[in-house]
Amino acid sequence: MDIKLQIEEANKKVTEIFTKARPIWTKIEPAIDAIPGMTANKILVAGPPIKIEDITIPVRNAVCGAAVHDGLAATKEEAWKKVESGEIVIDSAQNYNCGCSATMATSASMPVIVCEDKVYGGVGYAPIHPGNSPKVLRWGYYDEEIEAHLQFFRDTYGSALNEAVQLAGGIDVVNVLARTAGMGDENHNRLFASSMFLDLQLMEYLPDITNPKKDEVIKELAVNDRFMLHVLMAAVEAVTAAAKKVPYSTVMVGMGGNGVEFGIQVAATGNKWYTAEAPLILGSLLNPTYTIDDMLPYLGDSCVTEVYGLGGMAAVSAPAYVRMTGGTLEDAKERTDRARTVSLGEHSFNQVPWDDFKGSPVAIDVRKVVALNTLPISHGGSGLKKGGQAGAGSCELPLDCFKEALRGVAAEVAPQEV
Amino acid sequence: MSTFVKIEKNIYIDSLETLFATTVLNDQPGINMGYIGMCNSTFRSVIEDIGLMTSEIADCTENDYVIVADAESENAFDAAVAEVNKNMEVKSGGNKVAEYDTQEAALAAHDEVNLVHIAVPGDCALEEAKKALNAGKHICVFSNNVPFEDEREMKELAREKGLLCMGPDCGVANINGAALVLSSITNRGPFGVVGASGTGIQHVAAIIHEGGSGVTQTIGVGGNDLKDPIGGISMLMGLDALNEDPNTKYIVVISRKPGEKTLPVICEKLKSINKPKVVLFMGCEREIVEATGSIWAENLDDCGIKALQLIGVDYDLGDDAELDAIAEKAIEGMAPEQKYLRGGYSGGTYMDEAMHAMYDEIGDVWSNCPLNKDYQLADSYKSVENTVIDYGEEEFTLGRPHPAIDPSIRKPAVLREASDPEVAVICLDYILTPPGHPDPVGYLVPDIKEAQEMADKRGGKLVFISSVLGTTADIQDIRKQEQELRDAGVIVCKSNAKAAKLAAKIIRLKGERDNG
Amino acid sequence: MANTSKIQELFNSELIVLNVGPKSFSTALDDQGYKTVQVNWKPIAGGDAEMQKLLGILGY
Repeated sequence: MDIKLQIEEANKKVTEIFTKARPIWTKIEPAIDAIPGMTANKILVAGPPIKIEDITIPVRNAVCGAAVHDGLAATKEEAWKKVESGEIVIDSAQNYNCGCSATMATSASMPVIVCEDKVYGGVGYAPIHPGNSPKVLRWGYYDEEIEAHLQFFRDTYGSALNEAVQLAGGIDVVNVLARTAGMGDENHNRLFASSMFLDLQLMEYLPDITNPKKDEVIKELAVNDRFMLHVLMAAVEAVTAAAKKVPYSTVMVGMGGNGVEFGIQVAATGNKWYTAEAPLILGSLLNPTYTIDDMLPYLGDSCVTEVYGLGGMAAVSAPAYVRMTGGTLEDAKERTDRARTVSLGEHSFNQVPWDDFKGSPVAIDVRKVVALNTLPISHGGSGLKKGGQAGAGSCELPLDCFKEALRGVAAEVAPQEV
Repeated sequence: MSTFVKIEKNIYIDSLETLFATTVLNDQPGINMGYIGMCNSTFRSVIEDIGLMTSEIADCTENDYVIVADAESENAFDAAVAEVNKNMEVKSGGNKVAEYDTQEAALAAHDEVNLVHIAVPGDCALEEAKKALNAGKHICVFSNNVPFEDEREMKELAREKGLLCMGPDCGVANINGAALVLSSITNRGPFGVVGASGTGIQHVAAIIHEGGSGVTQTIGVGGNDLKDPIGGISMLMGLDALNEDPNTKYIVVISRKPGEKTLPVICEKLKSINKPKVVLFMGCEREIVEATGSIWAENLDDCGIKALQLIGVDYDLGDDAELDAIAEKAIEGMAPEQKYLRGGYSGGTYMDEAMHAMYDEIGDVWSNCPLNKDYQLADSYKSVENTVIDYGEEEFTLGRPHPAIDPSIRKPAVLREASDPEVAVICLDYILTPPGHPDPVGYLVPDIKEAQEMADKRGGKLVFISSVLGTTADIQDIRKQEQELRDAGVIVCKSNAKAAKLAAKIIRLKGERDNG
Repeated sequence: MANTSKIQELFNSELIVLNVGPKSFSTALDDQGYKTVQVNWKPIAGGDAEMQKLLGILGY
């Protein structure tokens, strides 16, 4: 068959996967049990693969913290030596259908959210969102207090939530998005409504769980208005897991930053990364003394939500968040229109009343991005070089990684023509 | 002076806008020399040439928009950039127009569109044309340099779908009263015009408007339509459409003589049309035209006059005696060495017409596109003896808009020609159109005045002669433009041919007087 | 004789123009009181020859 037709068919298939998949949050399990390929000495981090010596300070702190937490080393210093020697292996989470937001490091013992898409068979993973405190592994910190929190997650919180999810018979993530559509979330950086609705689903079953510390569990859950994010990341990974198996497709199926480079993945070449210099996420800063020089370039996998057509792609859904990034309602529409220009499908579950009930665009075709020189805008939180969150905002995805992707896909599907 | 640069990454601004912006930039105080454009290879070679290349620009890609200038100070540069931006905002209009990145997206959201206007580089025109035609939309293609095979493909597709394809290289079209591309705004009336020459259509339509009548539609088919590789596909459809249109009572056809194989096909079609029709085929034998049952026109003025005669309007362009009288007065006060004319034209149709008009008085004139090959200028920037230049030719417009939109292309010519003490007369045409300069005459008046002063100081007199192509309905208003010319001491003629004729008469008369 | 019914339909409809190219053309029509839609056309891949070739191979 003609390559062009094969690409067209494949893109239709991936668009169908993106729009018709129904990822269900089915359980929480330790990473080592849940994630194929996970080993006791492995730690997963965000973004494209990175050389050990290039790993940013906050990620290094998180990695060392995770290693100590898992007993791979006694101290952070020892942990780093083992990383340098290769005894502890660092790898890109998305290569395992796992999403690690910001500086998060996922080690073998950590509980991960498991989402299963029963329609196309993909399974995705993400660690549990640690809450709104800035002092977390997820923002590059590790100390005794954080270790205690990690242990609570490992020994109590994860298994308790798992019990509730089991009692609920699984939670349909697309249903949560659909029921909260029009409530002002773009579901990458603003997830108030979806987090609350997700909590409601769990609340019905939490009183019935057997865990003796269920009061603490409910308190932990109730104060986290961004809890939905990591559930959603696992759900998206379940969807992209199936999309990554469709050869010939030029649709983007993964993206993330490691603080140095920003990378994307394309269905046709699965887990291959195409990278460019990571952009800065500009918008609002959490502390007026912070400057651009304090900021880390794009870091984290939470933008996999955008691969699934949320966040910046669905900017028009969340005018209030766009305002925080320095934009207006017009800008919000423009961001979604930009995404629409380079996308192949739209989410019927997220029809936006003030955008003529149009669905938010999904399935970005890397060909369109390069051909039209139209760069999707991503929303995101930004990190500080020294650790911690700098702020939140938006940025254009870098053109160079899309160009690199075209080279890679062409070499894969039409080697004789390149 | 030092070099300042402003770069905007990942945007695209058409050369039409950037070159006009360059003009604005160079008019700003404190700017020695500046240039604006997308950082493509053409842009790079220009700024290398003028010595404004910097390492910052060297690192740019073709997706980056660059403003660079040799300026007095950073403040002067910033102020100039602000002025450029302000100007571009004004040009882009305050109205809220729905905007899209692609034709597909625009048509998906606006199925009510019935005509797609295409102004993209020539090698990209076919793709955009096909998108429009396949969506069932009529097209008007302004793009030039479209390959013959592309033109044929889009026209065959249009014919198959029963859609109107105006252009490529369509300079003028008025549809349902709207002045498209570079047309004049023209009153509506009983005349349907179809032609291959944009200036020709605009000229005849303007005479019809001036004569108190108007047009139903004017259909520009593009300069190549009647050549044999295309075979007049659009002309034939245009004729059928005007013939069927109940509002069109009279038909006017304007073209150079069609190609050898195309001519008989067009003549057959003309024969089948029963509406009264005036046909101007420049360079074609009168009998061939008349054999089709059409009224033969000799030139553009004659074509307009004969059209108006169909509705009983007598349109007077004046006679030769009037011009002789003006010429007689014009040579008074000229210095003995003043003996040549120089012409600066915005397009080939008017320059050709001028050269023909001049020929009767003074014979061949030098040109960058002469009637007689022996009079080919070696350098378009160095006029000799009697010279006329078409500023719409490639050496001036490569990558730049038509002189009717960007009068800066022709601007340097005024003082360049005036600095030659042997020059007695300078002829300039002006074209009015909605996308054009808001005051093309006013734009050149300071240079015209300076040129007149230069001649005065040398003890001579420099005569400027002009005609304005446009109507009273045009935004620039032909009457206002003509008055501005007269106020600047310019002789204003009723048509381009008359202006050229007068210029040549002055040169002939001056020569006769000087030689006793 | 060609079937000109679609052209007659154009002549008898409200003209609505989609301009693909410099915005000054749609502004000129707006100023005359006609409805317009604007496409801010850009060269494919910004004119990058390598990308144009790859896009061709990939059926864009």
